[in-house]
Amino acid sequence: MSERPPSTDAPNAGPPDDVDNRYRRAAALDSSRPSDSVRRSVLEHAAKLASERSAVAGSNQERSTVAGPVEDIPANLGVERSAANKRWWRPAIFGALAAAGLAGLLIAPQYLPPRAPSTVAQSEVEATRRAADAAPSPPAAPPPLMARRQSMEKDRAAADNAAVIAESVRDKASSYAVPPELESLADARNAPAVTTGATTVAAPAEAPGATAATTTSAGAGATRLTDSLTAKPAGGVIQARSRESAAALRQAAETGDVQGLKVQVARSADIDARDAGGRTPLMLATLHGQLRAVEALLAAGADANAVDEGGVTPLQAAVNGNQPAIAAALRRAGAR
Amino acid sequence: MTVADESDEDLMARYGRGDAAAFEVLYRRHEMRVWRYLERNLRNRATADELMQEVWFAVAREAKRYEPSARFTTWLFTIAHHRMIDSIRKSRRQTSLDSLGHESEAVVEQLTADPSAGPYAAALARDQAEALMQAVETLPAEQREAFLLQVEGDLSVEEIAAITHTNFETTKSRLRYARTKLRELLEEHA
Repeated sequence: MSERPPSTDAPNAGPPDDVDNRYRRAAALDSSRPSDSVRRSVLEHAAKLASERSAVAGSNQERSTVAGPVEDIPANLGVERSAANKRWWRPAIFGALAAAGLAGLLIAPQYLPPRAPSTVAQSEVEATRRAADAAPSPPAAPPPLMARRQSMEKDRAAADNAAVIAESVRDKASSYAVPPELESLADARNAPAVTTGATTVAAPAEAPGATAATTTSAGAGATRLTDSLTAKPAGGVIQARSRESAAALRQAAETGDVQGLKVQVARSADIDARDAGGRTPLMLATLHGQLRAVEALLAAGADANAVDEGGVTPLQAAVNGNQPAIAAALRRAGAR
Repeated sequence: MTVADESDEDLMARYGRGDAAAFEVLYRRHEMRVWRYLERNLRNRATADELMQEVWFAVAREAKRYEPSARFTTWLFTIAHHRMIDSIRKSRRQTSLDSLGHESEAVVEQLTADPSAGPYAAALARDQAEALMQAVETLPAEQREAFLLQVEGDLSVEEIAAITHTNFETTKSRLRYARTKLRELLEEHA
């Protein structure tokens, strides 16, 4: 095995020195070598990259035969091909888009302002107002008994409306598969909101003579009620799911269940969620000697330097636990 | 001309286009030089192994971006230098990692295990190699690195100065001091 490059254009490194020569003679006797695993992993990694490059080059060539000659870009000019040509990007991009969409569906309703009345309803209100203005003389105010009856009817209608909305919201909340022990909590949050909402809806029915306007404001109140009902239980359910996922993530880390880890990470579980002792999943995987779990967590972006309540880092835990492979993986990820 | 006769730069270009055999030739050609540079600077076999892997992974990953305006060995040892500095910085922050092992004695044993030499030659070689190893180890870190870059990387003073971010005169002084000190230590041993 030649260790010297064949190039003859080596720069002048100074006159050969007796020390240099003696060092080189000693180096020639050197049987110390990097471990076989290093050599094997380096060559395998290089071969894998080469095959990927060949595949990309092959697909580019196919494309060029279809679309006409394209100037070949030399590989050593420092020009990166676009990420779209790398096949592994595609599932990653689709996955990220799907995750973002799901997160948007779950989180966005909490931040949306109450919905404005529809333009149809607004135009009806305007038309009613115009008709009222155009009338030669306003009709006499209804007698107090009739006004009270109208008010009661409106209250009943608004309450019915609120009940229907509440029922639909319960249906929606139940579709989140709330754990049984948390269902009572969600119900407890729902109940006062319905009562309060119904009261709020009934309140605007005080102004007599403006039926359409009152209906519209009752609708807006119902919309606010819907929002308040959907926001509170959804937030609670998300928190509950998050806690459940974090616990499952820690368990998967402890047992070295890499598949389980991936599932929980895909479910947006907090990858650094701590247990009662302030230990992250990475720390637990380290303490239990789960190298593959450690690698999976680091690859998923776990904090390599998160200390537990005792101020111990995962790297210190690995060293103390005589886990050199885990220590090496952590150090590669920047652990201190 | 066979693949083994090709220059480092041509091999890198071939590997950048997807020729895995070119990389293997390149790796085998420079494996031991990089290894000795890392292992003797760090004096820790486990860390040297780890950095060895990181350096060559980086070479494989960056092959497409490699520009043959500089010699391959200059580029290679620049990567090795940077990885080593990062590692030293990390280990300074984490002193307990020192317990992972100082294995220079084992390296000396391996260094001197030359089965082709006779008993006397082997003993002499062992003695000299051990003395040289000890002498290199006693050098200040900057001098040791400059010396190893020159003898292992075949790099010029200018190249070493560029890699270590020092000026030409400083690098030259480090090399001169390193050689003077090594010579003195070897004479003392003799």
